[in-house]
Amino acid sequence: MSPQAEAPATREKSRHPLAAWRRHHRQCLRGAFARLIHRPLGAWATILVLGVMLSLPALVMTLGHQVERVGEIWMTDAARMDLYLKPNTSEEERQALRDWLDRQASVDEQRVVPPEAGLAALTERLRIEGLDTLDDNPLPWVVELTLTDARQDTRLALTEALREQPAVAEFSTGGDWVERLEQIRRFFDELGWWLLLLLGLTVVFVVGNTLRLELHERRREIALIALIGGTERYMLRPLLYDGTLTGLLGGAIASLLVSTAVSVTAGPIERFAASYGASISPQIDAAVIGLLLVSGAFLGWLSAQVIGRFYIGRLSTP
Amino acid sequence: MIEFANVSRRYANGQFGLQDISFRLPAGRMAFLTGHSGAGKSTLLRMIPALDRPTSGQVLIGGYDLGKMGRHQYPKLRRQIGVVFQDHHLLPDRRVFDNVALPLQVSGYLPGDTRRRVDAALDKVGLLGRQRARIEELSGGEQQRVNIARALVNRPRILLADEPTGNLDPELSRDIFDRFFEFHAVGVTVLIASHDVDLLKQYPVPRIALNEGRISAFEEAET
Repeated sequence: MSPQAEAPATREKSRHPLAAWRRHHRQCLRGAFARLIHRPLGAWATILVLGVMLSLPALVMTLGHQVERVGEIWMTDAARMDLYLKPNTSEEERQALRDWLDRQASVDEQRVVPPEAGLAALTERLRIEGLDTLDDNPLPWVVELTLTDARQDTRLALTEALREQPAVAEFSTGGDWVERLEQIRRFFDELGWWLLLLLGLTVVFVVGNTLRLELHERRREIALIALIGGTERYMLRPLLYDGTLTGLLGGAIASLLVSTAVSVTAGPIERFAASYGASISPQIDAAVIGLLLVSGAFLGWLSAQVIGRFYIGRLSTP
Repeated sequence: MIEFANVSRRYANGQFGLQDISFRLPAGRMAFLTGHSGAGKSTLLRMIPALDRPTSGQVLIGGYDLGKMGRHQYPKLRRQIGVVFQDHHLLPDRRVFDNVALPLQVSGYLPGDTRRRVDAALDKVGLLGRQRARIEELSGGEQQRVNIARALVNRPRILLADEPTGNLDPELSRDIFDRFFEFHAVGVTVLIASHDVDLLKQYPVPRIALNEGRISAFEEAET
């Protein structure tokens, strides 16, 4: 071999930057898996801690989604309204009210319940004998409304207009509970995102510390690669794969923990919902699993970027 | 070409590693850097691949002014320089092939070219057939030859060696120096730091003598 025997053209021809770049990515991916298998217990503990930290916001978000599902079930109540008419309203007054309701865009359907029908329904529901033998039926005429939508502003506009109707004594709406549930859901959702942000920051430091130890072990190799002309990106690449893989596994463990927690609590929640006549089967949302995996991988990658650039810069430059 | 112009290196504690160093080594020439331990030989050598920076003065390497170079330009410069250290700087958990191939992999050579060049480099240092050996299985002299093969596999324009024969017996030391001389003969600029005066005297190469960070003497080659 003569050190400079080859012409520059031949020297360049034997290099293929894109192929080399792809090859190095493949090597880094294989290396990341190999290091994962041979890692000490401490590194696996980091992944577990990562999983526990990421599972906390995911649990809160999952709880928020369950509240949302309860809200959806009760949404049918929110779109209903009962009007209780004044005693002794005439047929003409009731008809005038029905005609007025027909003209309201927010009213989808209306059903008139006479006092006799109301009493029969009450007798059946309460299972009390003898109610139908009362001399005076104390129940008023009722108009059951189904609204076109369950939005709060729709209900508010209609209730304001109903106060002007002379035949209407009182009305009840089923939307308050749904509104409260929506507020609870929003609270859980915001809390989940804040926790993800705060714990995500912690994840960056935890993963970063593990990667820092790895960099320390590889400092001779990094210094050598820097000496023989390796770029910072070349030196950083294996670390990025390690960080991303660690984060991804942390996200997977978090998904597993949340799924387990949801499975364990599914029975009591189903029984609780059934007592209210609702049917809820708690389950982890696919979007939450996706979020955990993506955020875990991203946070791991971010840790590697921050720690890697700092330490590699110090190891490879004067 | 290696050129130092009034180069000084002062450390944070106020001590000087180098003081007002000026010399010029034209492309394709060879020189020895001599002096006692702590004279500044390693500091001077570390400045050439931009592993250290002067606090004043100018270092020009093959047209690059190190003072004006950005971090992103270092890899391009360093790929033109082969470095041989006294303590080998080999990766002990890798095989001989992997150690020698490292500069080629970093530079993006194809696997076929890498194999061919590594074989040629190992052949030149007399280690062909030891590609699969682990570094820890080699003797000190063999490890130093792996080090030389790695420094030369990328066909550098400049070869630097810092006490390359420090731990070797006289016969092996002479063998190593003969190889450096061969590379110089084909146009590589070679700068070797050594305190082995008896060995250096056997080669007709100019010597730059350092003492306490300063050039104490510049001796032309004895013929």
